[in-house]
Amino acid sequence: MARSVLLPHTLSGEKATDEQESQDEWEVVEENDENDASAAAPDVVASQQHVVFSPTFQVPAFYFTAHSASGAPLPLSEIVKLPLLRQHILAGTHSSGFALTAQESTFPLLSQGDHPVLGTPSWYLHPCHTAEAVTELLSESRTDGGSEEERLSRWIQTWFVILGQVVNLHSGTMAQ
Amino acid sequence: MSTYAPRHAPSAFSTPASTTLFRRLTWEGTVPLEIRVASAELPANSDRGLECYYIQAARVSYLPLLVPEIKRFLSDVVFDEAAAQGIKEEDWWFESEDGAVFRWHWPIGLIYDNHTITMSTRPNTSAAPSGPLRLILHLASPPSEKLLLSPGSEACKQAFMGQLKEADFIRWGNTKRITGLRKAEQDGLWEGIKEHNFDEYWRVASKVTPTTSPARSQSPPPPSSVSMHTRPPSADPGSNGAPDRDGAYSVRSVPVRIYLPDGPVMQDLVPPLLEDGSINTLSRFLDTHLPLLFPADRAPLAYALIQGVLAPPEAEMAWLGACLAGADGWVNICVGLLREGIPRF
Repeated sequence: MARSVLLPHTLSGEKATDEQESQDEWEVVEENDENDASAAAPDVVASQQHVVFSPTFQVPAFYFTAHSASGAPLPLSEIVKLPLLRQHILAGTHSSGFALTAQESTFPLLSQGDHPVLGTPSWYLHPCHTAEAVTELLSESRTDGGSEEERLSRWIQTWFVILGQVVNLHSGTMAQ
Repeated sequence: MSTYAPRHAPSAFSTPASTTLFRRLTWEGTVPLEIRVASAELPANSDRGLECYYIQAARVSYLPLLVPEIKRFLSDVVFDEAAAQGIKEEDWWFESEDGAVFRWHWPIGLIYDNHTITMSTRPNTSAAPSGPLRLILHLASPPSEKLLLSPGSEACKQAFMGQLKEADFIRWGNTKRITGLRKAEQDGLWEGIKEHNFDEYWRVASKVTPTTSPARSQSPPPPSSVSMHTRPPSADPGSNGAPDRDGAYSVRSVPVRIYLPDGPVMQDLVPPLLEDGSINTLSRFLDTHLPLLFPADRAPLAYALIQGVLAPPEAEMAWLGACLAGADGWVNICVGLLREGIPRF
C-alpha cells in the first residue's frame, strides 16, 4: 500500500509551494489556514507513506519519507514536529539524530533503513512489537471464526488501529 | 576423524575446529579498493597524481570506518593545508564508476560482491576481471535520495546492531540472546569490527551465533578433514548442556538475503530442515526462490557468491548461517549471471 500526503509544517521563512508527487492516489488539497499572519507562510512537506511486509518480523511495517518543498529530506529534528507522529509517543524517547529510541527498548522506535521493495532510504516504525499488540487486541475483541479472508481483514484493521496510536493517519492532505 | 570435540558426539559433519576455521576465513576476507577523489572536487593546490588511495579492506568492515584513514591520507599527501582544514567528512559519499551510490550501512564485502554481480549483467565486461573496486569519493552534496542520512560511525554501529538483532529474531523468534548481553559485550562486538579483532568479536559472538552440531540423520561426511588442534566448543550459556539447544539446525530460520544485479533484495524464511525432513541446501533454496535462474533439471543460468566465493550447491543453509555469515549475522547471497557457463568475476 502506498500513498502521498502533503503535510502542513512551518519552517521559518519558507514559502509554500504546490509540489505534488504523482502516485495513483487521491487528490485533496486543503490549505493550512492556521492563524499566522506573519510573513512566513506555512510550508508543505511531501510525505510518501507505505505499508510494507517485513520479512524479518513477518508483519506489516509503516515506512515513510518526508521532503520539504525544496526537495530536501527532513532531518529527524523536523520530522518529530510534523503532525504525522503522535506527540505522546515521542515523550520519553531519545533522539540520536538518526533514530528515535525509547528507554530500554531493543529496537529504535523510528529509524532509517532500506525500503524493502524500493531499496531507497526511508524512515520506518519498528514492527517488532506489532504482532503481539495485534494479537492482544484481537483476543479482547472476541470475534472468532469467519473465513480466512475475514480473519485476515480483521487482523489488518486491528493493525491499523495500533498504527493509529503512533501515527496520525489523518494528518495532512492527500496528493494526486 | 577422531575425538576432537570432547563434549559433543564426534560430528561427521563439522567439528568446532572447522567451524572456527571458516569463521576465521570469513573474518580475514578482504577486498581491494581503489579510492579516488572526484577530480572536479579536488581542492585547488592538491597534489594531483597522488589522489588515488588503495586499501585492502576487510569484508566485515564498513565504509565509515575507512573514512578516518582516507582523511589522514588526503590531509598528509594530497590536500594543501587550507583544504585539509576544510574537510567535512560528514558530507563525503562514494560512488561507483557507473554512478551507483555505495551504501554506508552495507558491509564492504557485500558492496564488493554486489558490484561483481551487477557487472555480470553488463554486456562488455571482460576487462579487469578482478581488479580493485574503484570508488569515487565525493566531498560534498551527498544524494539524499539514495543514501541514508548521517554517515557517521555511530549511525553505522546502530545499523549493525539492528541487523544483529534482526538475525537473532529470525533464528529464534526473539532477541533475548543479544539483549541478554551486557552493554559492554554488545559494544565489544562493534569494537571488534572497528579494531578488526577476531578474538574480541567472537568472544561475544560465540554466545549468540548458532553452533554447528550434528545434523539429524543423513548428513554427508565433510569434504575435507581439518586436523587442527582441539578447540573447546563455543560457550553456550543458554544451553543447559543440551548440545542442540543453540545448534544451527534448531533455528527457525537462517538469516539470509539474496541480492540480484541492479537491485532487488529478496528475503524469505529459510528453515534449516525442509518439511520432508531433508536438509535445506543452497541448491534447494535457490531452485525454490529463483526457479528461472536455477532450474531444477537443467544447468543453472546463474551463480551464487557468498563471501566472495562460489558457493557449492550442496552447502547446507544452516551450516552457512553458522560458519559463513557476515559479522552482522546475515548470509548474503549475491547472484550473478553466467556467461557461456562461466562466472565472470
